[in-house]
Amino acid sequence: MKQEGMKRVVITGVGLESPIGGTMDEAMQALVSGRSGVARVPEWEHLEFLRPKIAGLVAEHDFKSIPRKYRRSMGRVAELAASATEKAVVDSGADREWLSSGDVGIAYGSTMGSLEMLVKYIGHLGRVGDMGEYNATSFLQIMSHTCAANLAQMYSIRGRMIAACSACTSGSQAIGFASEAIRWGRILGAIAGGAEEVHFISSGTFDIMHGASFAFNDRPEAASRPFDKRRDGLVVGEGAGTVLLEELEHAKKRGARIYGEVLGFGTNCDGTHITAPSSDGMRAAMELSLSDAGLKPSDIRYINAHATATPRGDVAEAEAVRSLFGDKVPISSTKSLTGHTLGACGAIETIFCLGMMRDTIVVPTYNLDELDPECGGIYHPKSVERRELALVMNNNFAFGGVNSSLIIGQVR
Amino acid sequence: MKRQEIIDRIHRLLVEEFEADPAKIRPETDMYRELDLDSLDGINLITILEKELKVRVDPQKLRNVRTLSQLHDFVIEMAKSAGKLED
Repeated sequence: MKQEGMKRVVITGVGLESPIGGTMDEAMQALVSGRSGVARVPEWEHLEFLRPKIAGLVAEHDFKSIPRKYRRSMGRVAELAASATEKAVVDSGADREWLSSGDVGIAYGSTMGSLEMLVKYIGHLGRVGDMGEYNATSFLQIMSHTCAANLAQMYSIRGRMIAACSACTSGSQAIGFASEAIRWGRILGAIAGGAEEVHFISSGTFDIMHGASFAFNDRPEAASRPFDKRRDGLVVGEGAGTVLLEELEHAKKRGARIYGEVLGFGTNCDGTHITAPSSDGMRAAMELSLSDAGLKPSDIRYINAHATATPRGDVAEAEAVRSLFGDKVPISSTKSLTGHTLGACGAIETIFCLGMMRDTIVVPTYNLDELDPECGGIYHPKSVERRELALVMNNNFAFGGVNSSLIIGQVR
Repeated sequence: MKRQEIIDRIHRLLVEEFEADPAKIRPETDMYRELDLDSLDGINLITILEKELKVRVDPQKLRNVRTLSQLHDFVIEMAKSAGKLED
Protein backbone atom coordinates (compact mmCIF):
# COMPACT_ATOMS: atom_id res chain seq x y z
CA MET A 1 0.00 0.00 0.00
CA LYS A 2 1.26 3.44 -0.89
CA GLN A 3 2.28 5.64 1.98
CA GLU A 4 1.99 9.34 2.59
CA GLY A 5 4.66 11.38 0.85
CA MET A 6 5.36 8.78 -1.80
CA LYS A 7 6.14 10.08 -5.26
CA ARG A 8 3.96 9.37 -8.27
CA VAL A 9 5.42 7.68 -11.34
CA VAL A 10 4.45 8.39 -14.94
CA ILE A 11 5.47 7.10 -18.35
CA THR A 12 6.78 9.85 -20.61
CA GLY A 13 8.43 7.91 -23.43
CA VAL A 14 7.90 4.62 -25.24
CA GLY A 15 10.10 2.65 -27.62
CA LEU A 16 9.30 -0.59 -29.41
CA GLU A 17 10.91 -3.33 -31.44
CA SER A 18 8.16 -5.88 -31.87
CA PRO A 19 7.02 -8.48 -34.39
CA ILE A 20 4.07 -6.22 -35.21
CA GLY A 21 5.92 -2.96 -35.51
CA GLY A 22 8.65 -0.63 -34.37
CA THR A 23 6.40 2.20 -33.22
CA MET A 24 3.30 2.42 -31.07
CA ASP A 25 1.29 3.63 -34.08
CA GLU A 26 2.40 0.74 -36.28
CA ALA A 27 1.69 -1.77 -33.51
CA MET A 28 -1.74 -0.26 -32.85
CA GLN A 29 -2.64 -0.60 -36.54
CA ALA A 30 -1.70 -4.28 -36.37
CA LEU A 31 -3.63 -4.76 -33.12
CA VAL A 32 -6.74 -3.22 -34.65
CA SER A 33 -6.53 -5.02 -38.00
CA GLY A 34 -5.30 -8.34 -36.62
CA ARG A 35 -2.07 -8.37 -38.64
CA SER A 36 0.15 -11.11 -37.23
CA GLY A 37 3.90 -10.86 -36.71
CA VAL A 38 4.38 -14.63 -36.67
CA ALA A 39 6.17 -16.12 -39.67
CA ARG A 40 8.13 -19.16 -40.85
CA VAL A 41 11.79 -19.09 -39.86
CA PRO A 42 13.82 -20.17 -42.91
CA GLU A 43 16.87 -21.07 -40.77
CA TRP A 44 14.82 -23.61 -38.82
CA GLU A 45 13.55 -25.57 -41.83
CA HIS A 46 16.46 -28.03 -41.82
CA LEU A 47 16.50 -28.56 -38.03
CA GLU A 48 14.93 -32.00 -37.83
CA PHE A 49 14.92 -32.09 -34.05
CA LEU A 50 12.82 -28.93 -33.89
CA ARG A 51 9.12 -29.30 -34.56
CA PRO A 52 8.07 -25.61 -34.42
CA LYS A 53 9.13 -23.75 -37.57
CA ILE A 54 7.58 -20.40 -36.73
CA ALA A 55 8.33 -17.38 -34.56
CA GLY A 56 7.39 -13.76 -33.98
CA LEU A 57 10.24 -11.92 -35.67
CA VAL A 58 11.32 -8.30 -35.67
CA ALA A 59 11.76 -6.97 -39.21
CA GLU A 60 15.30 -6.98 -40.63
CA HIS A 61 17.31 -4.24 -39.12
CA ASP A 62 20.70 -2.64 -39.42
CA PHE A 63 21.94 -1.92 -35.93
CA LYS A 64 24.91 0.05 -37.27
CA SER A 65 23.27 3.24 -36.02
CA ILE A 66 24.32 2.11 -32.54
CA PRO A 67 27.88 3.43 -32.14
CA ARG A 68 30.48 0.66 -32.45
CA LYS A 69 31.83 1.36 -29.00
CA TYR A 70 28.49 0.29 -27.53
CA ARG A 71 27.62 -2.32 -30.16
CA ARG A 72 30.82 -4.34 -29.59
CA SER A 73 29.50 -5.69 -26.28
CA MET A 74 25.98 -6.36 -27.56
CA GLY A 75 24.42 -9.49 -28.98
CA ARG A 76 21.08 -9.23 -30.76
CA VAL A 77 19.10 -9.09 -27.51
CA ALA A 78 20.97 -5.99 -26.35
CA GLU A 79 20.84 -4.46 -29.84
CA LEU A 80 17.05 -4.79 -29.81
CA ALA A 81 17.01 -3.24 -26.32
CA ALA A 82 19.25 -0.39 -27.45
CA SER A 83 17.15 0.31 -30.51
CA ALA A 84 13.88 0.39 -28.54
CA THR A 85 15.49 2.50 -25.82
CA GLU A 86 16.81 5.13 -28.20
CA LYS A 87 13.27 5.46 -29.57
CA ALA A 88 11.90 5.85 -26.03
CA VAL A 89 14.48 8.48 -25.11
CA VAL A 90 13.80 10.49 -28.28
CA ASP A 91 10.05 10.09 -27.75
CA SER A 92 10.28 11.37 -24.19
CA GLY A 93 12.14 14.52 -25.15
CA ALA A 94 14.12 14.06 -21.93
CA ASP A 95 17.40 15.90 -21.63
CA ARG A 96 20.30 13.46 -22.08
CA GLU A 97 22.25 15.30 -19.43
CA TRP A 98 19.46 14.51 -16.99
CA LEU A 99 19.73 10.82 -17.89
CA SER A 100 23.39 10.86 -16.83
CA SER A 101 22.91 13.12 -13.80
CA GLY A 102 22.76 10.30 -11.26
CA ASP A 103 19.04 10.93 -10.71
CA VAL A 104 18.10 8.33 -13.33
CA GLY A 105 18.46 4.56 -13.09
CA ILE A 106 18.27 1.65 -15.47
CA ALA A 107 15.92 -1.31 -15.00
CA TYR A 108 16.05 -3.88 -17.76
CA GLY A 109 15.90 -7.61 -18.18
CA SER A 110 15.84 -10.53 -20.55
CA THR A 111 15.58 -14.29 -20.09
CA MET A 112 19.24 -14.69 -20.97
CA GLY A 113 22.04 -12.82 -22.64
CA SER A 114 22.57 -13.43 -26.34
CA LEU A 115 21.88 -17.09 -27.10
CA GLU A 116 23.31 -16.69 -30.58
CA MET A 117 26.66 -15.71 -29.08
CA LEU A 118 26.52 -18.33 -26.35
CA VAL A 119 25.91 -21.08 -28.90
CA LYS A 120 28.66 -19.74 -31.14
CA TYR A 121 31.32 -19.92 -28.44
CA ILE A 122 30.12 -22.99 -26.56
CA GLY A 123 29.60 -24.79 -29.88
CA HIS A 124 33.21 -24.10 -30.84
CA LEU A 125 34.40 -25.18 -27.39
CA GLY A 126 32.56 -28.48 -27.74
CA ARG A 127 33.79 -29.17 -31.26
CA VAL A 128 37.35 -27.93 -31.10
CA GLY A 129 38.13 -27.76 -27.39
CA ASP A 130 39.42 -24.20 -27.28
CA MET A 131 37.78 -20.80 -26.87
CA GLY A 132 37.93 -19.96 -30.58
CA GLU A 133 36.95 -16.41 -31.39
CA TYR A 134 35.96 -15.70 -27.79
CA ASN A 135 37.39 -12.29 -26.97
CA ALA A 136 37.31 -9.56 -24.35
CA THR A 137 33.77 -8.50 -25.26
CA SER A 138 32.17 -11.94 -25.77
CA PHE A 139 31.10 -12.43 -22.17
CA LEU A 140 29.53 -8.97 -22.14
CA GLN A 141 27.12 -10.16 -24.85
CA ILE A 142 26.25 -13.36 -23.02
CA MET A 143 25.96 -12.30 -19.37
CA SER A 144 22.52 -12.16 -17.82
CA HIS A 145 22.42 -8.39 -17.34
CA THR A 146 23.78 -7.59 -20.79
CA CYS A 147 20.83 -5.30 -21.67
CA ALA A 148 20.96 -3.22 -18.50
CA ALA A 149 24.76 -3.07 -18.55
CA ASN A 150 24.98 -1.97 -22.17
CA LEU A 151 22.21 0.60 -21.84
CA ALA A 152 23.91 2.03 -18.77
CA GLN A 153 26.96 2.77 -20.93
CA MET A 154 24.96 4.17 -23.85
CA TYR A 155 23.18 6.71 -21.70
CA SER A 156 25.94 7.24 -19.11
CA ILE A 157 23.52 6.15 -16.39
CA ARG A 158 24.83 6.87 -12.91
CA GLY A 159 21.79 5.98 -10.83
CA ARG A 160 20.92 2.46 -9.70
CA MET A 161 20.75 -0.62 -11.90
CA ILE A 162 17.94 -3.14 -11.54
CA ALA A 163 18.70 -6.16 -13.73
CA ALA A 164 15.32 -7.87 -13.67
CA CYS A 165 16.21 -11.14 -15.36
CA SER A 166 13.26 -13.38 -14.53
CA ALA A 167 12.39 -14.83 -17.94
CA CYS A 168 8.85 -13.90 -18.97
CA THR A 169 8.34 -11.39 -16.15
CA SER A 170 11.62 -9.53 -16.85
CA GLY A 171 10.02 -6.56 -18.60
CA SER A 172 7.14 -6.10 -16.20
CA GLN A 173 9.30 -6.54 -13.10
CA ALA A 174 11.78 -4.00 -14.50
CA ILE A 175 8.96 -1.46 -14.81
CA GLY A 176 7.54 -2.42 -11.42
CA PHE A 177 10.78 -2.36 -9.46
CA ALA A 178 11.92 0.89 -11.10
CA SER A 179 8.55 2.46 -10.30
CA GLU A 180 8.97 1.47 -6.65
CA ALA A 181 12.43 3.05 -6.59
CA ILE A 182 11.01 6.30 -7.97
CA ARG A 183 8.09 6.22 -5.54
CA TRP A 184 10.50 5.95 -2.64
CA GLY A 185 12.51 8.87 -4.00
CA ARG A 186 15.64 6.80 -4.61
CA ILE A 187 15.75 7.95 -8.23
CA LEU A 188 13.80 10.56 -10.20
CA GLY A 189 13.51 8.54 -13.38
CA ALA A 190 14.43 5.28 -15.04
CA ILE A 191 14.86 3.65 -18.38
CA ALA A 192 12.86 0.45 -17.93
CA GLY A 193 11.97 -2.50 -20.09
CA GLY A 194 12.74 -5.94 -21.38
CA ALA A 195 14.13 -7.64 -24.46
CA GLU A 196 14.56 -11.04 -26.07
CA GLU A 197 16.16 -12.42 -29.23
CA VAL A 198 14.70 -15.41 -31.01
CA HIS A 199 16.82 -18.53 -31.05
CA PHE A 200 15.85 -22.08 -31.91
CA ILE A 201 16.97 -23.12 -28.42
CA SER A 202 14.10 -21.10 -26.89
CA SER A 203 11.61 -22.71 -29.22
CA GLY A 204 13.24 -26.13 -28.72
CA THR A 205 13.06 -25.74 -24.94
CA PHE A 206 9.29 -25.28 -25.06
CA ASP A 207 9.05 -28.04 -27.68
CA ILE A 208 10.73 -30.51 -25.30
CA MET A 209 8.30 -29.43 -22.57
CA HIS A 210 5.36 -30.00 -24.94
CA GLY A 211 4.63 -26.30 -24.68
CA ALA A 212 5.42 -25.04 -28.21
CA SER A 213 3.01 -24.85 -31.11
CA PHE A 214 3.81 -26.77 -34.30
CA ALA A 215 0.36 -27.86 -35.51
CA PHE A 216 0.00 -24.58 -37.40
CA ASN A 217 3.47 -24.43 -38.99
CA ASP A 218 1.79 -24.07 -42.38
CA ARG A 219 -0.43 -21.21 -41.16
CA PRO A 220 1.92 -19.12 -39.00
CA GLU A 221 -0.59 -16.31 -38.46
CA ALA A 222 -3.03 -18.81 -36.90
CA ALA A 223 -0.52 -20.55 -34.63
CA SER A 224 -0.68 -18.33 -31.55
CA ARG A 225 -4.20 -18.90 -30.25
CA PRO A 226 -4.54 -18.12 -26.53
CA PHE A 227 -7.70 -19.43 -24.84
CA ASP A 228 -8.73 -21.27 -28.03
CA LYS A 229 -9.79 -24.89 -27.92
CA ARG A 230 -7.30 -25.89 -30.61
CA ARG A 231 -4.27 -24.11 -29.11
CA ASP A 232 -1.22 -26.35 -29.03
CA GLY A 233 1.35 -24.23 -27.27
CA LEU A 234 3.17 -20.94 -27.52
CA VAL A 235 5.05 -19.41 -30.43
CA VAL A 236 8.30 -17.79 -29.33
CA GLY A 237 8.89 -14.22 -30.37
CA GLU A 238 11.52 -11.56 -30.07
CA GLY A 239 11.58 -7.85 -29.48
CA ALA A 240 12.13 -5.14 -26.94
CA GLY A 241 10.00 -2.61 -25.15
CA THR A 242 11.32 0.40 -23.28
CA VAL A 243 9.49 3.04 -21.29
CA LEU A 244 10.91 6.14 -19.70
CA LEU A 245 9.58 6.34 -16.15
CA GLU A 246 9.59 9.72 -14.48
CA GLU A 247 8.50 11.23 -11.22
CA LEU A 248 5.25 13.11 -11.91
CA GLU A 249 6.33 16.58 -10.76
CA HIS A 250 9.56 16.33 -12.73
CA ALA A 251 7.63 15.38 -15.85
CA LYS A 252 5.12 18.20 -15.37
CA LYS A 253 7.85 20.74 -14.80
CA ARG A 254 9.49 20.02 -18.12
CA GLY A 255 6.15 19.85 -19.91
CA ALA A 256 6.53 16.21 -20.89
CA ARG A 257 3.77 14.31 -22.67
CA ILE A 258 2.42 11.74 -20.22
CA TYR A 259 1.16 8.40 -21.53
CA GLY A 260 -0.03 7.11 -18.19
CA GLU A 261 0.74 6.58 -14.54
CA VAL A 262 2.09 3.42 -12.93
CA LEU A 263 -0.43 3.03 -10.13
CA GLY A 264 0.07 -0.50 -8.92
CA PHE A 265 2.63 -3.26 -8.93
CA GLY A 266 2.25 -6.67 -7.40
CA THR A 267 4.77 -9.46 -7.67
CA ASN A 268 5.17 -12.72 -5.82
CA CYS A 269 6.22 -16.35 -6.12
CA ASP A 270 4.06 -19.47 -6.13
CA GLY A 271 6.65 -21.45 -4.22
CA THR A 272 5.07 -24.64 -5.43
CA HIS A 273 6.45 -25.80 -8.78
CA ILE A 274 9.26 -24.68 -11.06
CA THR A 275 7.11 -24.66 -14.22
CA ALA A 276 3.49 -25.49 -13.42
CA PRO A 277 1.31 -22.38 -13.26
CA SER A 278 -0.59 -21.63 -10.06
CA SER A 279 -3.93 -19.94 -10.28
CA ASP A 280 -3.69 -18.95 -6.61
CA GLY A 281 -0.29 -17.32 -7.10
CA MET A 282 -1.51 -15.40 -10.13
CA ARG A 283 -4.57 -14.16 -8.31
CA ALA A 284 -2.48 -13.14 -5.30
CA ALA A 285 -0.22 -11.02 -7.56
CA MET A 286 -3.26 -9.26 -9.05
CA GLU A 287 -4.61 -8.63 -5.55
CA LEU A 288 -1.26 -7.21 -4.47
CA SER A 289 -1.30 -4.86 -7.43
CA LEU A 290 -4.87 -3.72 -6.72
CA SER A 291 -4.05 -3.16 -3.08
CA ASP A 292 -0.90 -1.27 -4.03
CA ALA A 293 -2.98 1.05 -6.22
CA GLY A 294 -5.77 1.31 -3.65
CA LEU A 295 -8.27 -0.07 -6.15
CA LYS A 296 -10.90 -2.78 -6.28
CA PRO A 297 -11.35 -5.29 -9.13
CA SER A 298 -14.37 -3.47 -10.54
CA ASP A 299 -12.23 -0.35 -11.16
CA ILE A 300 -10.17 -2.14 -13.82
CA ARG A 301 -11.37 -1.51 -17.39
CA TYR A 302 -9.13 -3.90 -19.34
CA ILE A 303 -6.73 -6.75 -18.60
CA ASN A 304 -3.84 -7.58 -20.89
CA ALA A 305 -3.45 -11.28 -20.23
CA HIS A 306 -0.18 -13.15 -20.12
CA ALA A 307 -1.96 -16.05 -21.92
CA THR A 308 0.73 -17.63 -24.06
CA ALA A 309 -1.51 -20.37 -25.51
CA THR A 310 -0.09 -23.23 -23.48
CA PRO A 311 -2.82 -25.66 -22.44
CA ARG A 312 -2.33 -25.29 -18.68
CA GLY A 313 -1.18 -21.68 -18.38
CA ASP A 314 -4.24 -20.20 -20.07
CA VAL A 315 -6.60 -22.25 -17.90
CA ALA A 316 -4.87 -21.23 -14.67
CA GLU A 317 -4.92 -17.58 -15.70
CA ALA A 318 -8.56 -17.66 -16.75
CA GLU A 319 -9.43 -19.23 -13.41
CA ALA A 320 -7.54 -16.54 -11.48
CA VAL A 321 -9.17 -13.73 -13.45
CA ARG A 322 -12.63 -15.31 -13.19
CA SER A 323 -12.40 -15.66 -9.44
CA LEU A 324 -11.28 -12.05 -8.97
CA PHE A 325 -13.00 -10.10 -11.75
CA GLY A 326 -15.92 -12.30 -12.86
CA ASP A 327 -17.03 -11.84 -16.46
CA LYS A 328 -17.30 -8.06 -16.72
CA VAL A 329 -13.75 -6.88 -17.43
CA PRO A 330 -12.53 -7.27 -21.02
CA ILE A 331 -9.40 -9.38 -21.27
CA SER A 332 -7.24 -10.27 -24.27
CA SER A 333 -3.87 -11.68 -25.14
CA THR A 334 -1.93 -9.62 -27.65
CA LYS A 335 0.47 -12.56 -27.91
CA SER A 336 -2.01 -13.90 -30.46
CA LEU A 337 -0.29 -11.51 -32.90
CA THR A 338 3.25 -11.18 -31.52
CA GLY A 339 3.90 -14.66 -30.19
CA HIS A 340 5.48 -14.86 -26.77
CA THR A 341 8.38 -12.40 -26.63
CA LEU A 342 9.52 -13.84 -23.26
CA GLY A 343 11.68 -11.27 -21.44
CA ALA A 344 10.29 -8.47 -23.59
CA CYS A 345 6.58 -9.19 -23.29
CA GLY A 346 5.90 -7.34 -20.03
CA ALA A 347 7.26 -4.10 -21.45
CA ILE A 348 5.88 -4.55 -24.96
CA GLU A 349 2.42 -5.29 -23.58
CA THR A 350 2.61 -2.30 -21.24
CA ILE A 351 3.14 -0.16 -24.34
CA PHE A 352 0.22 -1.87 -26.09
CA CYS A 353 -1.92 -1.03 -23.03
CA LEU A 354 -0.84 2.62 -23.26
CA GLY A 355 -1.77 2.59 -26.96
CA MET A 356 -5.21 1.17 -26.22
CA MET A 357 -5.71 3.79 -23.48
CA ARG A 358 -4.69 6.54 -25.90
CA ASP A 359 -6.93 5.29 -28.70
CA THR A 360 -9.80 4.35 -26.33
CA ILE A 361 -10.09 0.83 -27.68
CA VAL A 362 -9.82 -2.73 -26.48
CA VAL A 363 -8.52 -5.32 -28.94
CA PRO A 364 -9.62 -8.96 -28.91
CA THR A 365 -7.52 -12.11 -28.69
CA TYR A 366 -7.04 -13.09 -32.32
CA ASN A 367 -7.34 -16.73 -33.44
CA LEU A 368 -9.82 -17.28 -30.63
CA ASP A 369 -12.21 -19.15 -32.90
CA GLU A 370 -13.69 -21.54 -30.38
CA LEU A 371 -13.29 -20.77 -26.70
CA ASP A 372 -11.89 -23.53 -24.53
CA PRO A 373 -14.68 -23.96 -21.96
CA GLU A 374 -12.04 -24.10 -19.23
CA CYS A 375 -11.02 -20.56 -20.24
CA GLY A 376 -14.60 -19.31 -20.06
CA GLY A 377 -16.46 -17.28 -17.48
CA ILE A 378 -14.36 -14.19 -18.26
CA TYR A 379 -15.11 -11.51 -20.83
CA HIS A 380 -13.34 -12.16 -24.16
CA PRO A 381 -14.15 -9.33 -26.59
CA LYS A 382 -14.95 -10.77 -30.02
CA SER A 383 -13.83 -7.69 -31.93
CA VAL A 384 -12.25 -4.30 -31.35
CA GLU A 385 -14.39 -2.43 -28.83
CA ARG A 386 -14.43 1.29 -28.21
CA ARG A 387 -13.93 1.92 -24.51
CA GLU A 388 -12.59 4.62 -22.22
CA LEU A 389 -9.75 2.96 -20.38
CA ALA A 390 -9.03 4.86 -17.20
CA LEU A 391 -7.34 1.88 -15.54
CA VAL A 392 -5.77 -1.21 -17.08
CA MET A 393 -3.95 -4.22 -15.70
CA ASN A 394 -1.05 -5.99 -17.39
CA ASN A 395 -0.24 -9.48 -16.10
CA ASN A 396 2.81 -11.63 -16.73
CA PHE A 397 3.98 -14.94 -15.32
CA ALA A 398 7.26 -16.82 -15.59
CA PHE A 399 9.07 -20.08 -14.94
CA GLY A 400 10.05 -20.28 -11.31
CA GLY A 401 6.48 -19.55 -10.28
CA VAL A 402 6.98 -15.80 -10.71
CA ASN A 403 3.90 -13.61 -11.05
CA SER A 404 3.71 -9.93 -11.87
CA SER A 405 0.81 -7.54 -12.22
CA LEU A 406 1.03 -3.88 -13.20
CA ILE A 407 -1.79 -1.34 -13.08
CA ILE A 408 -1.51 1.65 -15.37
CA GLY A 409 -3.93 4.53 -15.36
CA GLN A 410 -4.60 7.89 -16.91
CA VAL A 411 -3.12 10.69 -14.83
CA ARG A 412 -5.71 12.37 -12.68
CA MET B 1 54.64 -13.40 -43.47
CA LYS B 2 56.36 -10.39 -44.86
CA ARG B 3 56.38 -7.11 -42.91
CA GLN B 4 54.06 -5.41 -45.39
CA GLU B 5 51.59 -8.30 -45.23
CA ILE B 6 51.44 -7.93 -41.45
CA ILE B 7 50.90 -4.18 -41.71
CA ASP B 8 48.16 -4.68 -44.32
CA ARG B 9 46.48 -7.25 -42.09
CA ILE B 10 46.50 -4.84 -39.13
CA HIS B 11 44.98 -2.09 -41.26
CA ARG B 12 42.31 -4.39 -42.64
CA LEU B 13 41.38 -5.46 -39.12
CA LEU B 14 41.17 -1.86 -37.95
CA VAL B 15 38.84 -0.93 -40.79
CA GLU B 16 36.73 -4.09 -40.97
CA GLU B 17 36.47 -5.15 -37.35
CA PHE B 18 36.90 -1.86 -35.56
CA GLU B 19 35.25 0.38 -38.17
CA ALA B 20 38.22 2.76 -38.30
CA ASP B 21 38.08 5.51 -40.90
CA PRO B 22 40.49 4.35 -43.69
CA ALA B 23 41.53 7.97 -44.25
CA LYS B 24 42.95 8.03 -40.74
CA ILE B 25 45.19 4.98 -41.20
CA ARG B 26 48.65 6.56 -41.04
CA PRO B 27 51.80 5.51 -39.14
CA GLU B 28 51.57 8.47 -36.78
CA THR B 29 47.86 7.96 -35.99
CA ASP B 30 47.15 7.53 -32.27
CA MET B 31 44.77 4.55 -32.30
CA TYR B 32 43.17 5.43 -28.99
CA ARG B 33 42.73 9.14 -29.55
CA GLU B 34 42.14 9.29 -33.29
CA LEU B 35 40.54 5.93 -34.12
CA ASP B 36 38.30 5.94 -31.05
CA LEU B 37 39.63 2.64 -29.76
CA ASP B 38 40.07 1.88 -26.07
CA SER B 39 41.96 -0.69 -24.04
CA LEU B 40 39.23 -3.32 -24.56
CA ASP B 41 39.54 -2.86 -28.34
CA GLY B 42 43.32 -3.07 -28.05
CA ILE B 43 43.01 -6.40 -26.27
CA ASN B 44 40.52 -7.69 -28.86
CA LEU B 45 42.79 -6.63 -31.72
CA ILE B 46 45.78 -8.40 -30.22
CA THR B 47 43.67 -11.47 -29.37
CA ILE B 48 42.75 -11.88 -33.04
CA LEU B 49 46.40 -11.56 -34.08
CA GLU B 50 47.54 -13.92 -31.31
CA LYS B 51 45.25 -16.59 -32.71
CA GLU B 52 46.33 -15.99 -36.29
CA LEU B 53 50.01 -16.09 -35.39
CA LYS B 54 49.59 -18.79 -32.73
CA VAL B 55 51.54 -16.88 -30.10
CA ARG B 56 50.63 -15.26 -26.76
CA VAL B 57 52.03 -11.87 -25.82
CA ASP B 58 52.76 -10.10 -22.55
CA PRO B 59 49.78 -7.77 -22.13
CA GLN B 60 51.90 -5.32 -20.12
CA LYS B 61 53.89 -4.52 -23.26
CA LEU B 62 50.72 -3.44 -25.06
CA ARG B 63 50.45 -0.47 -22.71
CA ASN B 64 53.24 1.37 -24.51
CA VAL B 65 51.60 0.99 -27.90
CA ARG B 66 49.66 4.05 -29.03
CA THR B 67 50.50 4.91 -32.62
CA LEU B 68 49.94 2.64 -35.58
CA SER B 69 53.66 2.63 -36.22
CA GLN B 70 54.21 1.29 -32.68
CA LEU B 71 51.45 -1.24 -33.30
CA HIS B 72 53.15 -2.41 -36.51
CA ASP B 73 56.43 -2.94 -34.62
CA PHE B 74 54.61 -4.72 -31.80
CA VAL B 75 52.87 -7.19 -34.11
CA ILE B 76 55.96 -7.72 -36.26
CA GLU B 77 57.76 -8.61 -33.03
CA MET B 78 54.93 -11.05 -32.24
CA ALA B 79 55.35 -12.68 -35.67
CA LYS B 80 59.09 -12.87 -35.17
CA SER B 81 58.75 -14.61 -31.81
CA ALA B 82 56.33 -17.05 -33.44
CA GLY B 83 58.89 -17.74 -36.14
CA LYS B 84 56.53 -16.44 -38.81
CA LEU B 85 58.38 -13.38 -40.05
CA GLU B 86 59.94 -13.62 -43.49
CA ASP B 87 62.66 -11.18 -44.46
